[in-house]
Order: sequence, then C-alpha cells, then structure tokens
Amino acid sequence: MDRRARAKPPSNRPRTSEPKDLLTRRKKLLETYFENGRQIASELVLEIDGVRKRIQELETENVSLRMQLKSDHAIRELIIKIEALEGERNGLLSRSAEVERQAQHEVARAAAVEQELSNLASLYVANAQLHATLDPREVVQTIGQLILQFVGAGSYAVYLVDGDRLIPVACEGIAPGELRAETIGEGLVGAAFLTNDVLRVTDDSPPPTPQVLVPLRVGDSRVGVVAIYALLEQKAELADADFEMLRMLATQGASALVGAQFYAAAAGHVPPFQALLPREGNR
Amino acid sequence: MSERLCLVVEDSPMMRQLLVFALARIKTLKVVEADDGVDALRKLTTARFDLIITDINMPVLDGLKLVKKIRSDEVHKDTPIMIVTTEGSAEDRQRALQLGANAYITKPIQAPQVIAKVKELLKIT
Repeated sequence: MDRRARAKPPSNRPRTSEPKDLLTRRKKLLETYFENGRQIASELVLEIDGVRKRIQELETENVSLRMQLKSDHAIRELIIKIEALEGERNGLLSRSAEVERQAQHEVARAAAVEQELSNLASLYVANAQLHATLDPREVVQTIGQLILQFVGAGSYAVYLVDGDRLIPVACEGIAPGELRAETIGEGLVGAAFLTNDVLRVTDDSPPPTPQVLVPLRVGDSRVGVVAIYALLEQKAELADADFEMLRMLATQGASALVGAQFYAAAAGHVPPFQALLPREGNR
Repeated sequence: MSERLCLVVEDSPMMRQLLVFALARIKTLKVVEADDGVDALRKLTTARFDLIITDINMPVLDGLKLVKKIRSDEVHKDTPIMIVTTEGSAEDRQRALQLGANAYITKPIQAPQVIAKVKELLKIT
C-alpha cells in the first residue's frame, strides 16, 4: 500500500478514548483564554479611546495656549506702544501749551503795537491839524477840538498872554462868566504859565479849579495856558498817551498860534524870499 | 474779498482825519467823507454804502436826525450805522440805538476799538 494513501488526516472527531474532564478543562481554558482576551481587548479599546480623548483635549489646550501666548505677546506690544504714545502725547500737550503761551504773548504784543500806532496816529493828525491853518482863531479852535475829542476833556479854557495877564479866549463845558483874566505868576493858571511842563493839579479848591494845566510855549517864548477843568463822563482819568498829546500841544499848539498871529499881524503878507536870505554882514 | 464802501460823517476835520487813518487799516474798505449831515445826505444819493459812521453834534443836521433820515431811505434803511460821539450818557446811547443806530462809540476813540467794531458790523475778519 502507498504510504500517502495510508496516511490519514487527523480526525476531528473527539477521541472517545480521551477522558471527559480533560475536554471540559480544555474547553474551559479556551473560554477563559478568549474571555480574558476579550476583556483585555475591551480594556485596550477603552484605554485607546481614553488616550485619544486626552490627545484631543491636549491638542485643544495647546491651540488655546498658543493663542493666549500670541494674545499676551500682542497685549505686551500694545502696552509698550500705548506707553510710547502717551509719552508722545504728553510731549505734544506740553508743546501745545508752550505754543499757546507764545501765541498769547504775540497777541498781547500785537495789541500793544496797535495801541502805540493808534497813539502815534493821533499825535500826527493833531499836529498836522494844528499847522493846517494860519488863522489864529482857527488854531485856537483846533486846540479846543484836540482837547475835547482827542484827550477827552469835557470842560476846558484856553488863556493867551496879553502883557502881564492871561486872558481866557476860548472855553467849552464852562460858562465864560466863571472865567476871569489871571495875573502871570499868581494863582494856579498864572503860576503854570511860568512852568515848562504839563501840570497835574491836586488842589481841592471848589470848582472851577483846573485839574490839568498845559503851558503853551515855543522855546523861551510863552504864549498861554490851557486849563482842563473836567473830563468827559466816559473818561475816568488821563492816561500816559493823553499826557504825551498834551506835551505835544504845549509846543506845537504854541508854535501854530505864534505863526498864525504873526501871519495875521502881517495882514496875510508872507515876507518875500529875500527876507529869508542871510544878512549882508553874515555872508 | 470785495471792496466795501463807508461814509464818514464828521464836522471836525481833525476827527475825520483820525477816523480815515484808522479805517485805512482795513484794506477792503473805501472811505468817503462828509463834513455834516446835509453833505452826508447828498453823498448817500451817489452810491450804495455798506456802513455809515457819524458824529452826533454837527451843525445844520445833527447825527440823530441823520440816522432817522437814513432809516427811512429805501436804499440804506438796513445799512449799519455807527455813532462816534463825545456824548457819553446812557440816555444818549439808548436814544441813538432806538432811532436805528447799530453801534455807539464814545470819544476819545481808540483806533483798534473802531476797527474791531467796523469789522463786526461788516462781518469781515
């Protein structure tokens, strides 16, 4: 017989010759083995699930932490920038305050310059008007207008010299009857005639008592006195510019008056130019 | 900026000259002078003025009468009028404003004050 033919596959039929308890034991062992395997597999699956979950959580946390880190960094940068901007802002505010101060200073200077120009313009106009006429009466009128409209004297009188007396020739705001001729060197008006500057009077005598006296003189030639008795209602007191005007009036007013008086005395005849040439002995 | 026309009515040549000097600081303002109220009325017929500055105490036709006449003039009834005067009482001011004046300045004047008021009335800077 062929060996191959003789060899038979192992049979699965239980050997009825094996003891029964061994079979049972083997079955139990397999069952236990598979059960354990199943349990281990389940546990492994659970553990894997747990690990997967944990990985996911950690990844989420990681993303969150990264974002927070970026945000913290951004915030730190913002804070630095804010501090820098605040510094710049404070610098600008300080500069702005300085510029504001300078601007105010310039505005005040400009106002002062404007006021000075205004005062100079008044002086110029007054001077020009004083010399704009050769009529003595018009010169006296101009003096009066100057006192009233430029200085703000509501009540005044113009005295002109006549020998040893001062005669009131024009007045405003005071009754002519209240004025009288003054003797040179006597009384306030008479004494002022001999002085060289505008006088502020502090006399408490009853009115009419002059508050300010302006001696009219050209060099050593004395012509008269302007007496101011009261200021206009809206004029509280005389300012420095007013006293400048009165000083100008003291000389230019006198000069205009003298010129006009001489012109009137010459009956309007202006001397021929030969009178202006140097005399024979002086050539 | 277009040129504006201003009429200055003042019988005192000195005061008139000072006002003209002050107003010369406003480059867009042309000034015409009148030496009393009657002269002013004559000049008002020759042009349309943007501003009238007038004294009160003037011969022939005083400033307040002039203001009244201007306010009844069809051409100038709304033209701003500024009074420049030595009359400083509150009653004088009130009367002038009631008659139609728009501003009231007392003498002695300060050029910066006049300029500021003129600019205000003409609405220029």
